[in-house]
Amino acid sequence: MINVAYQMTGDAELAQDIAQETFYRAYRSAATYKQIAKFSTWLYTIAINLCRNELRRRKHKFYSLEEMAERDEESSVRIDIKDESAQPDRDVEQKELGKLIMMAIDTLPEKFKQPIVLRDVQGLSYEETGKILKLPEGTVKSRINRARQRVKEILEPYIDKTFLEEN
Amino acid sequence: MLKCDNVHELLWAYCEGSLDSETGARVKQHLSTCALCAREHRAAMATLEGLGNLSPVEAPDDFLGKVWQRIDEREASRGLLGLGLVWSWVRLNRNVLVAGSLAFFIALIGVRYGLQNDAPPQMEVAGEKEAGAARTMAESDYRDDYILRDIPETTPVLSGFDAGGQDTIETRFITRDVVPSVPYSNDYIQSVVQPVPDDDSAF
Repeated sequence: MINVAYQMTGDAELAQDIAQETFYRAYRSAATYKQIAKFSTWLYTIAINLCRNELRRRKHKFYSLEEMAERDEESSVRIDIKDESAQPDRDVEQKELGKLIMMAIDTLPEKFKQPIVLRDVQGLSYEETGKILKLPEGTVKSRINRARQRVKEILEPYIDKTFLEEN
Repeated sequence: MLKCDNVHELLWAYCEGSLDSETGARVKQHLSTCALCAREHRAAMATLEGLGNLSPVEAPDDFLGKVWQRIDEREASRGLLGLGLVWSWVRLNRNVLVAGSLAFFIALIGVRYGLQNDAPPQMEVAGEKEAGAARTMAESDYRDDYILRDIPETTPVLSGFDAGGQDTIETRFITRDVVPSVPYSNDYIQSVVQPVPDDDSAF
């Protein structure tokens, strides 16, 4: 939950607050939970709605790369890329890539950000993503592909420099 | 042979491996011959890899404790909110409450007083003072020493007998179903039970 909230808001403290609120809401509404969907789907739905409300309340702004870097330094949460065999240079590259991806996600409009976070970051299925967002699977796929395309466009200069030259 | 536009449309599905084997093979063949599309494919794969490899944000150690703390605080504040609402209502409707309370107590006293008057008094068996003997009440046989009149079927009635002397007068109730738990007054008994006249004129 913290992860989703963090990807959605880009704010570590806010993400923790939203995650706590998600569990509180779930506790309060446990009696109304119906076993139509998975429990995790229900929790994600609560978390996404809270993120949506919070972002609208705060009128979420878009960050520049510098602001993003500063915010990440201040944040207690580290954005690391999994690479257990990594060499130091590769680690740095992966960290940079992670920051870029976060920034790219952050620039997406909400309706594209939600499905790509749930599907590509959290690893949920298209079906589950559609249930959480209350969207048809086709719409979810379409939005995810457009979001991926946008992220790819932002990453391409960096990818060109690092990954593509290696191959 | 697929064109570049077709491959671009199928690229994300190809990267995820969700294309059927035939279409997948055709995309693969195109990528092996088109450098531009192959580059797109590598960029797409790197994007998906990057998205998937964003390391999960770990919850702090005290996260669960904070969740429970929030639950406790919110529940407590909800309780206080309820009390606060009640108190506010009381303050706003003080006069109504005072008037209502007075009316309630007056009604309560009235009901209690009325019940006391309606309650059957303690039974005093005829001749008790004179005899000074203990009387018993129980289901009993009925004797024709007295005429029962105007007595509902389920009403306990007095059956007495004179076994030869005043001291032996015993008063019993006939009840078909219920032994009365509340004795009836002597006046009441006298009103429903009449001694058989000696001359049988009543018959």
